[in-house]
Amino acid sequence: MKRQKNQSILPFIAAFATILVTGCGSTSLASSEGPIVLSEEERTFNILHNWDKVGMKNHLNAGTNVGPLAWFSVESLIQYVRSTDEVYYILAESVEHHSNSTSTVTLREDATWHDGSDYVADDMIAYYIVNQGQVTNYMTSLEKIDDKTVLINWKPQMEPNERVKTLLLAVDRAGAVQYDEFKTFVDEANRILTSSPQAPSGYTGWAPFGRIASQSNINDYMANYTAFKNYNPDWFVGTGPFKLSRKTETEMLLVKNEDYWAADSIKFDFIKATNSMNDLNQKYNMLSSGAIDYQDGLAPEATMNQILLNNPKMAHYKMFDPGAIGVVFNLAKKMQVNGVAQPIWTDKVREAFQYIFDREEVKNAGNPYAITSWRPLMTMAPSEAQKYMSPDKYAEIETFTHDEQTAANLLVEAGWNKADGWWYNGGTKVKLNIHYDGSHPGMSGAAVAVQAALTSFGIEAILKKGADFNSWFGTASSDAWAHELSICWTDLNMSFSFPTGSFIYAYKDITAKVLHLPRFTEDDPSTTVIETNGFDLTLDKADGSGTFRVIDVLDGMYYLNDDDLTEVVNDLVLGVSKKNYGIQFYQNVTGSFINIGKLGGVPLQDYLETSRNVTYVPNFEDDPDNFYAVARLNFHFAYAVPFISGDLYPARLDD
Amino acid sequence: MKKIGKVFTRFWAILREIGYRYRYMWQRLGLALVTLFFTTIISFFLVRNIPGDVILSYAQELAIQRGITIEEAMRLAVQILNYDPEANIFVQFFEYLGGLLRGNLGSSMYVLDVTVVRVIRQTLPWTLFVASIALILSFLIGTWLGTRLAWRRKGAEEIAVSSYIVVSNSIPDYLFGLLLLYVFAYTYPIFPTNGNYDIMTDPGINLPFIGSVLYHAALPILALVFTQVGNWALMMKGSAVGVLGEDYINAAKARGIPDRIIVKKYLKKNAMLPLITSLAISFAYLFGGSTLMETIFNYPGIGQQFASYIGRLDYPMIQGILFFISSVVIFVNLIADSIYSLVDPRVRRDA
Repeated sequence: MKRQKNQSILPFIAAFATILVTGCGSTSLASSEGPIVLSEEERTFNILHNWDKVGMKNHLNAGTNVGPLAWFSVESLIQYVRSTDEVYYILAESVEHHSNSTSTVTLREDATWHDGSDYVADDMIAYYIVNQGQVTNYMTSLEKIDDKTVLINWKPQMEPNERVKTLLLAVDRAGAVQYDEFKTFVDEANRILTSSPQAPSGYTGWAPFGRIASQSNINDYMANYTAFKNYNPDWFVGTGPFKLSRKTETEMLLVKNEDYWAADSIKFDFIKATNSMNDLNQKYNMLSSGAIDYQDGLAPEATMNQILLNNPKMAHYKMFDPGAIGVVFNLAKKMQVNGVAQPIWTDKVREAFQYIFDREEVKNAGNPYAITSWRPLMTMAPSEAQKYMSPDKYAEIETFTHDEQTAANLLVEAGWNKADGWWYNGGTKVKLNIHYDGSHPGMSGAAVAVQAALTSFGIEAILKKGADFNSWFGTASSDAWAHELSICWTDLNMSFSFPTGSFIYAYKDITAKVLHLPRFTEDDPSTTVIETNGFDLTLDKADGSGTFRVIDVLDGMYYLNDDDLTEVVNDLVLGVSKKNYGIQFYQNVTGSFINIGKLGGVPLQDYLETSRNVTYVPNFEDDPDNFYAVARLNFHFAYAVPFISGDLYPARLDD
Repeated sequence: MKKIGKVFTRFWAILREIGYRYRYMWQRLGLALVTLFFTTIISFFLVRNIPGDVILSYAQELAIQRGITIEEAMRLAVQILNYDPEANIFVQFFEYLGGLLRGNLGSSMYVLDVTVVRVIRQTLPWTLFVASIALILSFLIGTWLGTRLAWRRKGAEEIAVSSYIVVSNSIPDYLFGLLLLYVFAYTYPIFPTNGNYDIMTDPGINLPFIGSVLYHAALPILALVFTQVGNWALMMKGSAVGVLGEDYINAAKARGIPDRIIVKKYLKKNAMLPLITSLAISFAYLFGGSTLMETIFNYPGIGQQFASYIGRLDYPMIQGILFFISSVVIFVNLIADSIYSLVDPRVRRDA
């Protein structure tokens, strides 16, 4: 019996042994290329990313998340680095802008698809025809000159300036649609497009390639687009420096594209990605244990120090994030004052609030590496405002110190009074709800500091946490549910740094909705159809010559020359800053964890010798080389540029 | 004609007899269908009321992925998503209900050919694999421990096992999962940190793949087993203590039957009976509640996939998976009830 029992345990022992033997197997390979023989591990760049576990399709435009393939396999004509606007010519060898509203794009002779075929003019045109993105609204047509040359004809009435043209071309991933693979959909999109009537001369509304589609054409286009995105090619359609090799639900392996035009510059042979569920715990543990070599973003200070302590090869760099975090007031919110509902955020109250906070403390609670701002909401981060405004006008933006006495005096002038240590307005105790995106560590930290400051000042403050950006914004922009104030991005540029990005975020997408600015209505006789539902905001001009409507300048900024652009940015930023619609606490700084034991060529070596937590944030004015080099360390900003340019390579090559 | 009448009368009598004899089961079946119907209604409207704007959420994701403005991303999002936020919610509900009746559980707002059925087919086997092994192991270990506790109610063994039960019942399963991961994957990298098999193996019936699957499932299974064993041991102990007082146990002891045989043949078998139905119910709850554990181990089961759809506000997928999980829980409960009625005729009679 005993013997039988022992035998029954054997399969379990065997299974366990199999698990260990199979799982712990080594996968070391050696390369014979070059004088230094690197192991497979040394030639593998390990990252955390996320992609769709079920149903991921083999092209970028399918609507599925393709994870690291979007960074390393799909390319643009030109790649810009977010936050610095540094541009790299990728699929395009050059883009020449001419005075007759045309530009010539010359494609790289040796640019190829991952299936081996050449990347040609038909492919570039196919991308724009089938996707009809923002840039096509500024074009009248694309002409194929030869296989490697395309002529862009711009709309004369909406011709962007040269810098914007380049940046607009950089936004689109023109290397995502191979004409031969998607011929059916591209031809159908072209048929629908050419059957749509030409827009009237001078028309500035939405009209890709100068065509205004009928409802029937829009329906046909949508049906074709749906079929296009549902199509699943046999290979992942890309041109980038790394190709898809293998994929499971949780791991993806990319291998170097040996036919790539800059293959010699690329020294890594593999990119191994782990699919993350955005689980912070997983992220921090993988950084600590050295399971990944890179991760963008910050970590709470204690966590970051622990990661750097656990992993002596890990370093953290900081770079500007083109956004600022602060408070936005809900201008529509009212409270009972002597029995009558009155707006809370009067001019005096908004001004008083600028003085209540020690912004340095709020910044330290939100992001200790960030740069404190003493200015009100400007709709533009300080680094961007400095870049696009004239120095004298930037200096005119009022700064506010931490001065509780001045704040109290202003509140008294506004009709508030303090009794028993608490502030009252017309007999009603002031109680403010602070709403914030709880998934953002910086905003969460800042919210707690703001609550503490308000309570200490004598204003009852209650924290209201949104689960994520989406749920925060859903409430913050709602007429019925929005709270008195929000901790959020007061100023942010999601796209390239041209100033329109910040103003679109402020006046079209997010900030104006959280501010609850009044909107134009159809009843207003001065309102045009396009303006209906836009935000009705008039600001003072920076030179004191009068006022202007924000809506009148927003859409024309792409066409302005540098001098006119500076003037408009001066007007917009200085004008809104005078309104004190919010408080700018700090210009955000983001970062990148980099395994410096794996990646050679990293900048700021002197700083690394002092501390692997590099707190120095280079800026353009004082240290332009490092400003660009550090921003490129963020793959989220620069995609494959650090590898294509040869900036980063296996560290042992330095030996 | 008379013959036909007789056959019909006889047939009707049989039907009535079946209806009467199994009235308890019909009642349970009816109740299960009603529960499922209300679950469907509640889950549909709950899901639609998850805070957040799906278009904006997707636009934000696109803006970050592609480095474009929110405005451009919003335009793209409307173009890409298979969802009309303006559609009447009641119309959407009846369309959803119609789909369910046709066997269509729904498809993703993001990619049309990602259907609920496809997701279930791809992810459920992984969940079932981990959940069933964990359940069987924890049941076997738990019942064995429970029997020993009931048989030997004094001594160091009882103190040790009882302490373990208290500790394992007090620690939330996800916490234990995190602990295992931290110790055996990150600090001492003996087991993998995530995933279901190694990317370099080829899925199929081959030793490297099977070994890799077992290797990757080891920590999630261990975490589940650790937290489940205590419950089973406690239930088994309670049941076994009751059986120990039965006359047939005393009679067996009086006849001089060895303890080992009494425990194995008399005590364990009889005490385990009530636990069998609990096993079925636990199984349903185990894979329905696997979300957290799969998320911790980044294990691509249905729970983790469900969590990712909630994150992306993919309403049809959330509803479809919720409907599937609810159906399984209700169905398994129905089976458990039926087993009760078959095993114990008093339940039928009471009905």
